[in-house]
This record gives sequence, structure tokens and C-alpha cells, in this order.
Amino acid sequence: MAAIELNGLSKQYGNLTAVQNLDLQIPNGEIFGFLGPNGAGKSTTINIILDFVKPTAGQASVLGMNCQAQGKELRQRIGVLPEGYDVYDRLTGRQHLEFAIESKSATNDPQRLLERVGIANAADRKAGGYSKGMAQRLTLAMALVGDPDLLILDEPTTGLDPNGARQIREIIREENRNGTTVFFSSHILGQVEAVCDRVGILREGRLVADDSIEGLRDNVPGGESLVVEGVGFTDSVVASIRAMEGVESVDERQPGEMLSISLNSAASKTAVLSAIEDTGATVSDFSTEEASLEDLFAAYTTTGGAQA
Amino acid sequence: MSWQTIAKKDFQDSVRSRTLWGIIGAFVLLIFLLAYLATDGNINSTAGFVSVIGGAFLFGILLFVPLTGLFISIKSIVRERETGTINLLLSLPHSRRDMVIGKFVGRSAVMSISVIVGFLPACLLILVQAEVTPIFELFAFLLATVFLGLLFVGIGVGFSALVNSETQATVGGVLLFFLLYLWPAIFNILDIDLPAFLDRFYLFALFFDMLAAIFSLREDVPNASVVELDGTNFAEASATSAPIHMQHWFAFVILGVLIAVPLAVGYIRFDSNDL
Repeated sequence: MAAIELNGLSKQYGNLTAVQNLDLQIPNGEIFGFLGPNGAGKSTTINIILDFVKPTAGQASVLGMNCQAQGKELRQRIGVLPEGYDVYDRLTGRQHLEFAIESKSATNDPQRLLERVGIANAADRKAGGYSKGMAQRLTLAMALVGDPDLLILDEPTTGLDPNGARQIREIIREENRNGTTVFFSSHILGQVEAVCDRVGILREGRLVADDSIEGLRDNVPGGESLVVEGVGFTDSVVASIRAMEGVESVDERQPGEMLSISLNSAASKTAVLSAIEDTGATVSDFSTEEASLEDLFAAYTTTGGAQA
Repeated sequence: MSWQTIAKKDFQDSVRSRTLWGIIGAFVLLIFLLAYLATDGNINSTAGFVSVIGGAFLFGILLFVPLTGLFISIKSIVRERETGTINLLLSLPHSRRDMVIGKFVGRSAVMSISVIVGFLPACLLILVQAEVTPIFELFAFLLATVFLGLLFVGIGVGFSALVNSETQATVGGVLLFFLLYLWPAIFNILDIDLPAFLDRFYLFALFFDMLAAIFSLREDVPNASVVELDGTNFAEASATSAPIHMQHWFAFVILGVLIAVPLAVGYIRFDSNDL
């Protein structure tokens, strides 16, 4: 039984397709990063799982329970940090947690949870006075109530400084070590690469990738760059390198002296290097660079390399 | 129970509203002042007392109860949708039905407290001024007023579940306020004669029938709706045996319907819509 299972899930808002025929399986115990630029349909997908939004077609189930028919039952077993939420201005942090604990018939100690997310000193202040980051921590604490089997976190690091984002990643890892499946969305790849077992990339409502980070690297053309230093990289040499087999693009980092050559997975580095020498240029040094994750993300989320 | 948890949270939250306490404070003063003016003569019989208390409280019942009732309920659900607090609430194991019921119960508790706080100083003044000690009559007035308040809370919560924005809720609340008072006048202007039973749905009839039903627990009150009687003078009316739907206690059934139907209609739309 999968923690989350989506089958042919679609959501249409008038003419706008927010999610299109989405199939996804998240096994128990996994940390899954749900990536995509803003507006790709991540939150719509999560909102369908939470039954905030009804799907136009397809099915969503969590821990074997149908999201539309058994919503209340399944929400008993999950912890959620939703998108677009707001805290109750007139209730204190502690009252928020007491509400969550009572709602789940759980036995957590509110103080203990607030300590864990680092806002114990604000426990008895009204949440209306909290900063965005504090509200985010409070909501995360609410999500942890009742030792959930699955955590669904929609953009958990928004509003947090790098330190806060790191704390959240630590909590995600701790929970996962205790057997909790974690599904979280982000539009920033850097936030997910450190913790995720697997990444799904959503673009315009479609899942365009579903793999480990390594797997994603392997699948992306231009996954590797060859950086060469030397002398004699004239325009005609650069032009002939561009024409070589397996070369995708050439970037002149220092004109005449240093080039960055994007290779596709079929290319042979030694063949390219010797071909460069054959043009008359001299290579004094070379190194390889893996494409940055941001490049990877851009490759999956843009059309024809255009910026997302 | 899920709705009880929501009701408790909702009560804690809404009872802290400063605007609510501003409204209650203003009405405490006004009702007290009217009670002071009304009791400026001696009250020496229970019958005289009832008319004094009626005169003193009428303004409060007419304005304070509907205003407060609609104020505390009309945005109760749609505001959570607009701010996004509903995302926290419905991420927890609550259904939307739990939410509607919990809101109604929580806001009803706020309404009851508002009515008691709003009228209590005036009640105490009357007790001090009166030579008789009509505790039961005062209690009956307060209870009937609370029940009337629940009517507005039910309509308001149901309406709040129905609409899509706070603006719609505000406009709707104002329209509802006038419509609930003026619909008999509208039928009157249109020259349409309503059956006597429908007259029972009018707020005054509803209030006085509930009052009569509570009075009847201790006193000899004819078991008929005020719409069957000549005016609201219970004592002079003859005790004919009215059919069940025209007896005074039936007002509670009408009240139940007037609360349940808006809640149900609001819930059905709320439940089938995206947040």
C-alpha cells in the first residue's frame, strides 16, 4: 500500500488546466520532493489530496484511503502544512496546538512541540503577532501532532531564513527516521536535494520527471560540462568545436583561454579533447563540471531552454 | 467529537473580538438607560412588570439581538476561507459538516453570553426597582431572547457557508437584517394575505410565542400563538383549543426549522465547492 497514490488525476478551472492526468506513487517511508515552478499545479495536487479541491477526473488516495470519500479518517493519520494558510490571530501558539491535539485525540505536550520547532518562548503570545516564519513553525508543530504516518508539507521553507530552512530539513529527517513518509513541495530545488530520496517535477500540470536526483542528472542532456584551459581558442576553433559530435553548446568563459563545453551523454570527453588539439589549439588543463541542479530544474521546467 | 472541538476553539477565538465587546458595551448602556426610564414609576404587580420589561427590552430585542447575532455569524465561515485559517482547520480530521455545526454551536455560546451580559445590568436594575421579585419572568425574557439570538446565528452561519467572499457576506447580512423584519410589510404592501400559520414566522410572533411557552411552565397562559390572539395580552385571551401547529410551543419547531434550513443549504453548497 502506497502512502500516496494518484491515478489519472486532473483538475480543470474553466479553461485552465491546473493538473493534467497525473499518475504518482509514493511508497511508505520515502521522502519525496514535489518540484515545479510557481503555478505548475503543486498546490492544486496537494489540495486535492486534502479534499480542499475536488478533482475533475481521476483518483487520489492516501494510506489506502480515498481522499474524497474518507477525508476525515485519513487526515487523522497525516500531518499537514498547507499553502495559503493563516493562523488564528486571537489564539495563542499553545491554543493552536491544543486545538490540533484535541482534534486528533492525541497526547502530545504542546510545550514540547513548540520547543522542537523553536518558538517555545512565544507559546502564550497571540499568533496574530507572529512573524511569517514563526507562523510557519507553529503550523509545522501542528502538523507533527499525533505522530502522523505521512507528512504533507506545501512549501515548508517559505518565510524562513536559511537557518530556519535547515531546522525544518532536520525535523523532516528525524520524522522520516521514525518511519514517517514525507511529501513536500518546493519551487526551489536546493531545498529538496539535501533531503529527498526521490523528486517529481511538475510542469504546467504534468509530471515531467519522477526520479532520484542522480537519475535526473543522467537523463538530462547536457548533464556534464567540459571546461578546457589553454591557448589558441580562436573563433574558428570555437566554431569547429561547436560542430563536433556530442557537443551541445560552447560558452567562452575567458575568450581565447577558457571554454565551457556542454556535452550530451553520448559524447566522449577524450574524443572531444583530441579533436580540439587537432584544430591547432593547445589545451593546458581541463576539468569536468556536473550541471548545477538549478540547470537541471530549468531544463525540466522550461520549453526550449527559455527561462521559467 | 469533532464539532465540539471546533465549537470550543471557535468560542475561544470569537469571544475575544474587541468589536463584539464594543457592540455589547454600547447596548448594555442603552438597554440599562431604557430600563431606568421604564421603571421610573413603581412596579407593584407582575402584570405591570411584564409590560414594563417588554417596553424596556423591546429596543434591545429589536436591534441588539439581530445585529449581534448576524455580526458574530455572517463571516464565521467565509472569513476563514478568505484568510486561509480554514486550511489549518480542515487539514485536521474535521469534515466540513463538523465545521458548520461547530461554528453554529460556538457562535451560539457567544450569542448567549452576549445576551446575558447585554441585558443583565438592566435586569438587576428592574429587580431593585420593583416591589415584586419577578425572577421567573426575567429569566423567561432572557431565555426567549437567547433563542431569538440563535435564530440569527443559524441564519448567519448558514449564509456564511453559502457565500464566496466577505463582501458578499456583509451585503447579505445587511439585506437579511431588513428582510427578516420587513417581509410581512412587503406582503402587506403587495396586498397578499398570508395564512395565519405563516404569520407565526414573523420575528415578533416567534419571540412572543416562545415567551408564552416558557411562561406557561409556571403560569396559566392560553396555549395558542399570539397570531391567534388579539394582540399580545395573554391574560385576556380566551383559552380556546388551538390546533397543534397554532399552539405557542410550536414556535420552537418553527425556530428549529428556521435554523436548520439555512444551515443545511449553506452546508450543501460549502461541501460541494472548492475552498
